Amino acid sequence: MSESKISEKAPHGTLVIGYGNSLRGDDGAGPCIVEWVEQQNWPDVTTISAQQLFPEMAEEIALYERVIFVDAAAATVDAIGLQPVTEASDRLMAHRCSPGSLMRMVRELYARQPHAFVYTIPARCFDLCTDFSPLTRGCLQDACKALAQLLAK
Amino acid sequence: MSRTIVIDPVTRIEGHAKITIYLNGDGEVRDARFHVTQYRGFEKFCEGRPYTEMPALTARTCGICPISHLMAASKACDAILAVKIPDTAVKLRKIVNLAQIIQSHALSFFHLSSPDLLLGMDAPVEQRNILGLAASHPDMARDGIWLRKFGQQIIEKIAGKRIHPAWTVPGGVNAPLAPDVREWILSQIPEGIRIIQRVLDWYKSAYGQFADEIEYFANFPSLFMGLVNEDDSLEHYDGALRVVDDRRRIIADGIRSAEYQDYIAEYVEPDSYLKSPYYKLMGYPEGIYRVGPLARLNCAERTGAPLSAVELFAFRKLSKGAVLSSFHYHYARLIEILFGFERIEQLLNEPDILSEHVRAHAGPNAGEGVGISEAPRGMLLHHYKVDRNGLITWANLIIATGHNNLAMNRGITQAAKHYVKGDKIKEGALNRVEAVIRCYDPCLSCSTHAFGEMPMSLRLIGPDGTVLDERVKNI
Repeated sequence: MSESKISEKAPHGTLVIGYGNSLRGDDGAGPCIVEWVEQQNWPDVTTISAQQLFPEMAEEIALYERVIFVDAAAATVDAIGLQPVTEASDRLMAHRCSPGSLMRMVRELYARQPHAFVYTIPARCFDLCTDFSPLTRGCLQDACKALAQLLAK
Repeated sequence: MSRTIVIDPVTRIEGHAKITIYLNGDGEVRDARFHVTQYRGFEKFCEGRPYTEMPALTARTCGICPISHLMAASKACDAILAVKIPDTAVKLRKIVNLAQIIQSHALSFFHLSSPDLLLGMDAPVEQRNILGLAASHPDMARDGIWLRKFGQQIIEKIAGKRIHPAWTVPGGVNAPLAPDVREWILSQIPEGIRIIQRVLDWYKSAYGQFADEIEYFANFPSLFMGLVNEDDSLEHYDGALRVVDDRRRIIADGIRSAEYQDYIAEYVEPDSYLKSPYYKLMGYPEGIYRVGPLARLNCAERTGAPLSAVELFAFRKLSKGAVLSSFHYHYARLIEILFGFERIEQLLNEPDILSEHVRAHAGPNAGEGVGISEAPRGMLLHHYKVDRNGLITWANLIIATGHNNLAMNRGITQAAKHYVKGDKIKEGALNRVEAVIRCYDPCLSCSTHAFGEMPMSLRLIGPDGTVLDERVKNI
């Protein structure tokens, strides 16, 4: 979509992007959250479930007022984290990027700056399995509650 | 005293690799080698699995070109079934294969290589990436995003998933095309054609700035190999193999999948996990050939679609014979994107495209099968043998990047001899040697079945084996 076609559409609603590999234990936390969000049928909330972030998502993100990234991260603390996304200039791979570099592309390519947050779910196990560790399982419940509160605002 | 330079890792390619440049006693480049440093071994661990699993198993080789493996694997399994699959299934497979080529070519050109072309080979390394492109040439970055996204959307809407769909199966495909999907794709094609024609116009106006790179980026005589139809038109799924020489003279034609071993043999070099296939009738290493978009345009006489035919006509003016400079892989890639849109439109307008008869059912009727299709990077070949229960007893995969291995080695040697001076690697020279590899758009996870992320490296080695300089760029 061209910049002019994007600009014809007023930004609207919230996009939740959960990313990670569901076959790698706790790394599947992001897609698991997306599955839960979809079941809530909240109005004006759209979801994307993906193994990783990639540049093509910039066009989609530009259409929303708010974007929430949900990702698993190797645990340094035992609680979920919520932080605003700051633009990054990391040298992204061609088919994988960080929330910060993606938000920078949204601004530079589509002249849009949605409010962007990232939830990090602490993770312990990245082995080949589809189960979550007890820590991540507990934090997923906390994340769902926190996300419900955030989306209610 | 001879010395060596190593580039490790090579960047902005699909995979891990390194380049070693050997200097002679006078400090001049004697040789250069492209090493792929990982091994995965799909051929071995597929043994014992049912042939029906092969499309899904081998597609896991790669997250960039799984569709290509699905196509070659499914065709090999069709041969084991010994059935003629429904015409509609063939057409749907062709559409998805072309969508894969569109998205992969867009990734290669816009995300990986256009930073070199638009920002310059000598631009600061921190700017030569898609973010730098977004800042300096947002229109071009948006075009790349649109094209790649559209290719992936076609795959997702027809096959169910953009990566690793289970839609292509032995005997056909497992779901017909939905009418609304057909309409949606057709509605988007005009925008895609507008974008790629605009980019083609830019490329044709700009490549004159790269006369030196065109001259020294793997510009040498070789054979070229690709699929063509019976009417000599460009083909990416059906047809038979053709081999042409540097003057575009046909030296072998009509080669069917099952005959490939009469024409292609494989050699293993001690310093790389990437195989070195060669044209058997000329021996090793004289039987060097190239595959991929440049080779396909050199092999075909026509595209079979009007707008890309005009572009092919202009492309032919580059040379009286075959276009030899690998720099023009970029040009060929853009023409193939245009062709992809035109051909998808043609196929979607076929009267039987919405037919629900899309799969033939049978058990294994042949002990082996070979499947060949054109992946974005070139001809992809899967060859399986099965026992009477349909379990795989032997498998051989020859990947596009492997076909190009000899040419990539020769290409980096040519570029290194021209650009590398002395025993330190300047950034511009490093990038140009890497850029030769990027012309081929190698996919190393496919070609060696490597595991993990795969950037590259470059090393300069003296005649006594001393490492004089080494550049490592982790991304």
